[in-house]
Amino acid sequence: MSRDNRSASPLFRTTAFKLAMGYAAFFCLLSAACLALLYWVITSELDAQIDAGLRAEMAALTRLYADKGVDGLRGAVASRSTWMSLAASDTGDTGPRQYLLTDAAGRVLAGTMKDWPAALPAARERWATLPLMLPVDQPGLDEDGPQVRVRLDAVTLPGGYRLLVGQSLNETDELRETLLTLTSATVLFTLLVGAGGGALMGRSVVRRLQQVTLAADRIMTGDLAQRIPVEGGHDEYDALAAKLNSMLQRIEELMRRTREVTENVAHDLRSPLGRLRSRLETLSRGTGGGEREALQKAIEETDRIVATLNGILSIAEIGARSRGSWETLDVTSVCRDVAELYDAVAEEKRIALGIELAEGVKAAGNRQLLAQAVSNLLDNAIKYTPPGGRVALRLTPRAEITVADSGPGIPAEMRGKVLERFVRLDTSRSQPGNGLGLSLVAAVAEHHGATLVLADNGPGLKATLQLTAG
Amino acid sequence: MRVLIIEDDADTAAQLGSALEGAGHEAEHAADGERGLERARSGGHDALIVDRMLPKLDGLSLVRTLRAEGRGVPVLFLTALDQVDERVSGLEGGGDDYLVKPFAFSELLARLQALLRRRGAEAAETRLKVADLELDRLKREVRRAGKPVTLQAREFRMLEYLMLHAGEVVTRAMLLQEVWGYHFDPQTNVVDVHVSRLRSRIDGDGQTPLLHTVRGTGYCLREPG
Repeated sequence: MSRDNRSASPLFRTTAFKLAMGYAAFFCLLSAACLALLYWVITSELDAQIDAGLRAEMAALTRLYADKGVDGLRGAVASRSTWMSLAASDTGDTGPRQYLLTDAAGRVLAGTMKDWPAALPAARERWATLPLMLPVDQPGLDEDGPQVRVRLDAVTLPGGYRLLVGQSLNETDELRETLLTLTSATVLFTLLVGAGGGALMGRSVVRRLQQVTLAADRIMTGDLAQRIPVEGGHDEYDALAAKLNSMLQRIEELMRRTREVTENVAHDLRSPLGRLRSRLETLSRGTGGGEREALQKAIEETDRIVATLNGILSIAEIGARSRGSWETLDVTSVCRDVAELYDAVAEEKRIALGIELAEGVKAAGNRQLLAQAVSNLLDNAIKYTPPGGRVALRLTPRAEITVADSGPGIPAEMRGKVLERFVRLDTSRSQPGNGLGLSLVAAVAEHHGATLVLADNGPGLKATLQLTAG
Repeated sequence: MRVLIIEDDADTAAQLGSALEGAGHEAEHAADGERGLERARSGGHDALIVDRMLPKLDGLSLVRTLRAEGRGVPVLFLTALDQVDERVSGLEGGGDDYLVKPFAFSELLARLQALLRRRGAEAAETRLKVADLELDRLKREVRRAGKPVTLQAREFRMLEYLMLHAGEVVTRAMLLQEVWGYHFDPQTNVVDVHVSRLRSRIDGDGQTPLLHTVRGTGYCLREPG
């Protein structure tokens, strides 16, 4: 059994981590959507306010032009420009409002800008947002300031005069940028907190579950005294651990009782049988003739009872065994040794014993038990194969042990039954044996987590023991 | 041979004692672990027969204590529990052999003999000789009356064991345990067939038989006469 990398699943593959990641991603998307909406609402509101301000200004100036003509307008534009420049000079920045008034020939009459922006075509839609180089109105400085985005509106007044009203977007752009930074920072933070929290949660769940897995692994290898640690947090893990532990307690109790019964039966039957046998032996030493013969028969009968008892007890014992005495077996050599034990018997009965063993096949198990199982299979095969027949022992590289014979075989409907205890096909019971041979093989197979399959060998029986190669 | 029987079942102990005395040995009996330990410490025994389950002090602890005190007297465990793990813990605890109840006296006597021999110089001998049968453990050669005999590896191991215990009874279970390393009873008497093959190799050609069958018990390789 490949023990046991299943328990060490990486963190990112755990359900808890995946769940946490899913939630983190979901909340990130949700908060990103909310923040984007907020950003859009705030910025469009800002844009609307700026446009409303500009529209009102433009309306006021066009009305002034209609009332007081170009001179009136020039005066108003000039005074506003000065005022804006003064405001701007405090901050060393371009003024927030921009004005420009030109005549039909394009000469500047008044305003904060030096030229009609080239980027603004004459025949154009009214509203535009343009990047412009604005002059910084500061004493001693007569150069262009930084390029800023300007929202502007321009009209051509009757008489060819052109009027431009604009607002530099410095402040709103800064606000926009701050908003954007804040939004992305929030989304990133949510993502990080979600992922980190997920990892932490995942790790604690993994740790708790791993304790269960580890305990289960140790129990599987036969250490029934293992318990799952209870951490005292009274959470659902502790509740689960407590339930599993009481279940384990119960199983251990049942196994212990089974073992005790087996041991008591063994002890309570073996000791009197031992006394019986020694009495018979002592008696037979002191007598002769027919009486001695009868006593010998009684001793043989006792030995048969003992053999049957041993068979039953070892099947029971194999069932209750721990895997503590397991080792890595060279299955090839186990098979070869058993084959060697039986080759003489086969030869004597004129049965051809064919042996095909793959080299170096390894599996985990108990050497004695596996040898006994293979021995029982060969024993059966040779016993039921008539002289002149064939018996084959095969071992594949995948640790599949097959014993096939050319005997009468077992009818398909009886194959399951012969694995039960005391079932013999030979109802006359003329062959020696107690009907426990195949049951023991089945018990050994089960103990090794192996499968025992009986099949037709056409003619004969083919018994296959599939071990887990390792 | 002086044998101390530490066994709480009085009946079994009495039967054992009379059987040992019948075979010409001297038997002493202790009915519980503590008394057994006391007697064993007094020394003078050639072998101990110790039951695994004893009142006051169990057999395994008793033998462990003796071994810890540096006493190397051969120990044969008796038990009503036939489990592989039991056997292993018994042998690891300092037992030299292990016999499951019920057993034949002949099996017990044969094993006691083997234990005593094991204590001897068997391991040092490289050439074994019984009558005109010779076995060289280093060259792995066997000769009968000077003529080489070809044996398979298992047959060689069997003959080696029988020759090491020449003149003693060797049971089927002992051969199965020593030559094949198996602690279970095969359903068929496979050992018999191997022994008869071995016999045909070494006792063939009208030579004086050396390998004898002891009825109901096992085999014995001994000098003729």
